Amino acid sequence: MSSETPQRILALWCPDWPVVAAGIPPDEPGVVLHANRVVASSEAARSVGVVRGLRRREAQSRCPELELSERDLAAEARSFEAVAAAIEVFTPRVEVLQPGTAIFPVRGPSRYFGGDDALAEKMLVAIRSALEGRTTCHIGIADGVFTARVAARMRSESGEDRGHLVPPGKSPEFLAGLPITTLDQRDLTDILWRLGLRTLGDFAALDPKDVMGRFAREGLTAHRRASGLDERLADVVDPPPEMAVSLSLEPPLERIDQAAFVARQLALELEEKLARRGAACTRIAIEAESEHGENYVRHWRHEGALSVSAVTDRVRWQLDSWLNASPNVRPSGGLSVLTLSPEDLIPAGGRQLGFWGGESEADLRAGRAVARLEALVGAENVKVAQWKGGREPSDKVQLLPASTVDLTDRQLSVFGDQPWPGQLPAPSPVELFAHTEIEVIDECGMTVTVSGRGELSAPPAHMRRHLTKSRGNTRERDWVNVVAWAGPWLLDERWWDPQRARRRARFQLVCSDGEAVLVFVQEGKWWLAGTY
Amino acid sequence: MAFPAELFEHARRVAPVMLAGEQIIAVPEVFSSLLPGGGLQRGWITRVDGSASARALAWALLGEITTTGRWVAAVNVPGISLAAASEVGVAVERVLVVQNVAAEVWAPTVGALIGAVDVVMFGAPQHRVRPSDYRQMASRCRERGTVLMELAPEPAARPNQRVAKGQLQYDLSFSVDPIAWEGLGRGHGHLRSRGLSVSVGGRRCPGQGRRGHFELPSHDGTLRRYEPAGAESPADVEPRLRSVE
Repeated sequence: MSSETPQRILALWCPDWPVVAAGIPPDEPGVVLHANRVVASSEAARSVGVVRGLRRREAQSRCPELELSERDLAAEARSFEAVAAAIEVFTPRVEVLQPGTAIFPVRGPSRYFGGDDALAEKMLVAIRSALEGRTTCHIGIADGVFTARVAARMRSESGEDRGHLVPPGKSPEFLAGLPITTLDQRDLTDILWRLGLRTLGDFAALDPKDVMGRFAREGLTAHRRASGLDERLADVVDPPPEMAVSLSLEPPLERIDQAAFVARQLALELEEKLARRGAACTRIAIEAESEHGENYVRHWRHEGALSVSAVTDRVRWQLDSWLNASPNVRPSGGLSVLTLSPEDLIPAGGRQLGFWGGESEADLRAGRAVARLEALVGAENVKVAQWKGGREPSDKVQLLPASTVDLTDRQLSVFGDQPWPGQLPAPSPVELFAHTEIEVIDECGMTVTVSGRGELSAPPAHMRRHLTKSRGNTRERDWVNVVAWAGPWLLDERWWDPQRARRRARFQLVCSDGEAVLVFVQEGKWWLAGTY
Repeated sequence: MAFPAELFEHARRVAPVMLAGEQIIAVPEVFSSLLPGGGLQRGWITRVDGSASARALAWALLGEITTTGRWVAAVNVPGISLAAASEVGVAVERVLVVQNVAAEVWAPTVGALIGAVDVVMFGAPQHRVRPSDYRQMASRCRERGTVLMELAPEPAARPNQRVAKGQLQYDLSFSVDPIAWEGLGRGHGHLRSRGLSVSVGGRRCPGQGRRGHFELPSHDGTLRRYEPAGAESPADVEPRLRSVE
């Protein structure tokens, strides 16, 4: 049984890290948004009812003076690097789970510093000075990663900020009374709840064999967590050293935009190597060596297997935080060697390609093609669509670099549920134009104008497009007659922002050559927006 | 050592047979009568001709492909409008858009997509493509089962249309002509639907070619045949009841 007792772990948790990284002080209401939803809110914002999952508008209506900030994962990782470096003073074996949460095995350090209590005390002082009052931090010490993280999130009744210590061997008792939702695996806890298991203790009382039979690997891991056992299953192995992938950079890497490319290349190489062994990794060490021989290493851990994009992100964040650190800790030269070493291999057999939806072979092939294309045409020219919504056809869909998006199992809520008052009804133009001036005249040959109140000077009768030829010179097309038209539909957007303000009157025209066009007048000039 | 003859016989019978029908990428049902075999056969090289309405047809053909989990890439398609694509049924999350591909990497880019996605749609290249590149592309397509779809440039930009020697040989070429728009009056209404006349020619469509009239886009977003308002041709309307003697 002794081998089942997990390592003693210290977990450090800085609450609301996205808010902290965005530079919002905890006593001011502020939120971090992603895809128009609140992903993190400050203490002050929570006290007035702004919680995770709200839409931006709802959040603003609950608290008008709310400070808004878009999520920036790289900045979160970069600002957490100072905290990770502060922990590194105590132990070299820091593992970052995500920006805001780090863990390390506590056996050695706590013996050196005179016990768990003394270590936690010292640690808090050091972290607080690293945080410079931006937020608080919580510490939990317990057997096993999961228990330590839960302990760190517990509000200790006695003192603020002292951390929650679970005595050795007492993890099962500590966990038994906690609600089943502590597991933070919604799919699983929903079922367990419906089965009548309300606490972790109830779940832990089940026979592991039954849990394995019903919920497979994922369920067994959760069961081991709930029982306070080592959550690494028996088939987790330490990889041989040759699994590491390494890259010498010539010229040395100095800018972060180069880093993104290198990160993806290394992540793909690592995945290929692991896949050949039929393995995946849950922990990864990112090592870098600078031109002048300085060594940097940081461990990242993930609850499930790390995918290529997850590894890429972590490498990019880490390189970003090293290269943009404060001058006294920053590498004195560019980074010349970069190494990724997988740690904790798990069998990758658990990955199942979807039958209906989900991850499919086609998605994987497309993902691999993206990597090749990026090398050919540059990452900014390989794009996928993201639904955005807007009043003009060109606003509805946004194109994002494919490398920033996980291509597997994407479901876009196309024609989102929000109405866009002022948008033209379907169909949308099939070809869009930017900065294409046209001429529209009435029967008498005068340019048609629209007054400030949306009155038309005369019905449009003829239209002429300029055609850009391949060599850049323009040639005028012939005049065509307008056989049907409608408009003006006025649009006055973002008048409060002089940079992005848009005030235009839109028309649909059908020409005598059978073509229908969407055109608009802006500041007295006619422009082509699209053809149908 | 010799295997018994019946073993060979069994092997012959159980070996998977790849029928031409299995190699077909389904298109929306309304177009199936237009295409030989009822769909786009893998490895074909196709071309869609006829200004903006050509794009509407191209996206409509590809709708079913993307909704069944396969991918489409669009290389150098200027002014691409995925909002319009999604309105004719394309799942835009499976469209890879590759832009600003320079002439010198154009052929490798299309080559990298062949085999990785199911259909590669590309705007007609503005530069001269070497005949050997075209031949390579065509043979890779046949081998990997990807369909190429070229969007022809607007007619005015190519006054003398001729297929130069060594260029792509199109298995199918669609030629699209708008018939009429509906919904827009003189100063009122808005565009609702358009009738399109589509004719199909090319190597795989011998003889006179096939022809069909479609409503694209249609007033309710579905794909349907075009029936001019008021004039219902008797051939299109199936009599519900038939008198029997």
